[in-house]
Amino acid sequence: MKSSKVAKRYARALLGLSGEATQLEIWGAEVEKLAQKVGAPEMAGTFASPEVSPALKLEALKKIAEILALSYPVRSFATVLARHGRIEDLPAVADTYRRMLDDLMRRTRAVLTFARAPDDRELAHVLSGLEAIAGKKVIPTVNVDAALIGGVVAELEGKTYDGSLASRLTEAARRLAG
Amino acid sequence: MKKRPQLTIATIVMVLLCPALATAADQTEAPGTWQALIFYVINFALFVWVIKRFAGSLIADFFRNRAAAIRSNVGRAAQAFKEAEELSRRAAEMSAGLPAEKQRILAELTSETEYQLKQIEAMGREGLERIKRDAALGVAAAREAGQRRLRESLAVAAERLARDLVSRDFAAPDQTRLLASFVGRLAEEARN
Repeated sequence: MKSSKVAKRYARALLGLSGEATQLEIWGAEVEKLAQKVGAPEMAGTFASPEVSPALKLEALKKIAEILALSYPVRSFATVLARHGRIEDLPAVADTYRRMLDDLMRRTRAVLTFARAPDDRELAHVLSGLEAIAGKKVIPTVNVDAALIGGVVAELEGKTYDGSLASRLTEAARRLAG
Repeated sequence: MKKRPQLTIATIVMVLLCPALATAADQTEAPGTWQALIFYVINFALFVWVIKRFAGSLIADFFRNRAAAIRSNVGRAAQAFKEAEELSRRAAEMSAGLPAEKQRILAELTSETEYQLKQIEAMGREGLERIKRDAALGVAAAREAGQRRLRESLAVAAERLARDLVSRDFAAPDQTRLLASFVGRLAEEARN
């Protein structure tokens, strides 16, 4: 079975555990935290290694969940994943869960790269433009890159909207060069 | 079959010597007698008969073959003579036609040379035109490439300069204006 199908199945199962949006958000955040720990380079090798027994992997996952103080449903969910030998699929499950939850909540995500750190008003202004295009709420991930000189570059649903000064200058130079 | 020539030779020798033996006893010159004449006649007749009997066919074959060979040689010689005469006649004709042939060949060569010279001249002109065209194209291409390189260099320099200037003087209102422009473009795209 392909990893994406597996991830979808587990993500759908977790989403079906509650009808409350807030609860689903909390679980999503917890699953992402757990996935970050499991997917970290120092842990990923251990969880993927066939030399480490499944029992030991399960024990390690439980310890991590305990340290992260995860809620009971998420701990149970992680235990089920571990028992099914799907720990290494946890990052994919977290990603799929987040996308499915976003769809459910009628929202999408965008990566915004500003030339300088934006204030709240600027961020809200840009988000309003992106939400007009997407037709739903946009959750931003903000980066800063001084090489842009000015403006912003937004990546939304697979498309890039470039409003940076650097790209304008590059375009102007290209036109000048003929 | 092998003894036959020996026997023939022995008989011929005997017939030739017998008259000598017959006259060997006569040491003095004696007048001829009828008996001697008859003897000689018979002797000669025997001689002729023997020759005809044993060597006639050989001699006849020899002379027939010889005659045939001579006739053949004469025929070949006549044929060769005729051929020589024909060759001589042709050579004479060719010799007679030589000046005209020389004139014809000379005229042909002159005509061909003129034609070839015209062809070479035409090819030379064509080559010259082609070289001119190629040279013009090459110059145009080099000029175009040079202009393009110059434009590119200028564009790179202008971009670098613009980046430096803009970066140095870029302020918060500029960022606000850029973001407003960006949002305006997004809104326009959303409407479309």
